[in-house]
Amino acid sequence: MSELDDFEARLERDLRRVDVPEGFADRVMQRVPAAKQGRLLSFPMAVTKARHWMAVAAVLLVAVVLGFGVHHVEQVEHQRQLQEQEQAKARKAAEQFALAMQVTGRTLFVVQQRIDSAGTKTSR
Amino acid sequence: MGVIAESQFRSLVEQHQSMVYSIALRIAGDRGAAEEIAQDAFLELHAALKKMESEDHVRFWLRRVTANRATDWLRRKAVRPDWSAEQFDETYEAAIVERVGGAEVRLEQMVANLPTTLRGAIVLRYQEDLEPDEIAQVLGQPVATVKSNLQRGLGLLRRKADVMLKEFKRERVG
Repeated sequence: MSELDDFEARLERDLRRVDVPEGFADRVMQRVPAAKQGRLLSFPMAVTKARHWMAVAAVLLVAVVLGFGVHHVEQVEHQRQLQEQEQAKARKAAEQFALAMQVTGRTLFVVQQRIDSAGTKTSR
Repeated sequence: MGVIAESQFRSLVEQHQSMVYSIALRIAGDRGAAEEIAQDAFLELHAALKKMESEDHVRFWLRRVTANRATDWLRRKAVRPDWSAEQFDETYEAAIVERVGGAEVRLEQMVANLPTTLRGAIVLRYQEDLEPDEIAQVLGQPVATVKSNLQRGLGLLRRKADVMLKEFKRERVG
């Protein structure tokens, strides 16, 4: 072996793994339940809570969007009905006006005829 | 995904505890911190068990998390004003002397005093017997950086060892 190899071999010997202090595994296992309730699982729990709130927020958002959508559709339908009612009123008014004009025209025609016949009688 | 059952967790701890604790101890250089880092690594493993695909995945994951946590601990310690470097060296070196009896110059002591950037690569190479490309994956560094850190770390260790050996010989001759 070269000098460096000897040195490295000695380094490996000196850096062998050491034994853990007695009761190490027990102390780790004692901390596991505490960790479940506390710090170590706080991250996953936080993630779970965050996911829960994100789901609630998503549901609320969808509900709000749907609510606005339904409201908008109802508004559009209401406007359309109002427009139809206005148009029907306008048509009815136009028909009434046309009828009134017809009546008026006929009346004027009758009056004119009477005036004409009265004039003829007078001139005789 | 998720081939490791929760009921196997304790046996995973027992199987890998020496590896995890040793990595944490040699990078952090403090027994108390090493225990805390190792426990945290296993608790993180417990939380991530569903993601583990195989035993190899668990081993790789534990090495990476432990090395990262130990390096983070060192960085935090470096900015913490109530912590002295002397206390760090004495604590860890006392542990090494307690373990090996302090009869000879231990390279482990020198590794504990290496710069943080070099320590992780040296520990993973010579404690875990990983190749540079495997170390690069564990530490999330380019292979070239790992090779450079290994060379620099080895160079530093060899120079320190030479100096200490010369002092030892001088003391014996004297």
